Amino acid sequence: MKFRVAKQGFDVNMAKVGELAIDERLMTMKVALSGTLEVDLPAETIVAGGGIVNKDYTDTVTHGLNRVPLFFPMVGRMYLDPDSASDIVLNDYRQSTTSTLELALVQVTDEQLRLFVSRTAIVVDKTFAAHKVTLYYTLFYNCLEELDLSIS
Amino acid sequence: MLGIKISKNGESVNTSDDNLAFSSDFFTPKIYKIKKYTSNTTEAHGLDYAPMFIALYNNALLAGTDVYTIGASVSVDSANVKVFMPSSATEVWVILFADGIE
Repeated sequence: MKFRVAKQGFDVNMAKVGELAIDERLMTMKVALSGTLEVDLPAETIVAGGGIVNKDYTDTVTHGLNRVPLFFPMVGRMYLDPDSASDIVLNDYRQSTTSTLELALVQVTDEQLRLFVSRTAIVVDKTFAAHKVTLYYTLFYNCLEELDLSIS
Repeated sequence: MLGIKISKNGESVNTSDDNLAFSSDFFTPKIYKIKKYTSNTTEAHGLDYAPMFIALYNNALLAGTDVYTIGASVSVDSANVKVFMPSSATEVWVILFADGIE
């Protein structure tokens, strides 16, 4: 059965696929859960000792969907300001244009969504400022499964 | 103007938009295609405009083949989707929407 609603200004009987607000042939995004991931980074000095030393911080949520879900916001890798004394919300953070020694990474698996922050000292000791890194996330039932709803 | 509104359970459809589960007055992204790529690819997406998209890749080298991150070098135009595999990835997933970049 057809179930279509045209966007404002279009005739539902003539509208092309991109001109429809609702189209029963296509899949909508359905929210499974939303929440917050947060890591509290301390003020610290990482001693490099002439080598490369990493210190990692992680927060995770187990989503229970048993498949790899789509999620918002579209945050992948972000270089953070290691000297910032202000807390950082990744949803509206403009990352450094050059690589820094503090990297945030958001990863998803069929079990978890993870916020991972890595601090690195390379050759020389590095002092980092204390700040909190927050990600407000929305996970969808829609997942990484191939799908082709091409409409001829 | 005609349209459709569906209220949340127990709410009136005539009150605040916050009480709506759905309204055709608002933009609803619609998924058109989800596809996994394993090599650099340029292919027709079948729409005659540049669609919205999301791309994820697995960082097979550093995190594992089953760990995915938003990103990857993907672009679209009014005819094609173009995928460039990150060197550390074995899969790039592209989610194409029927909604155009407007």
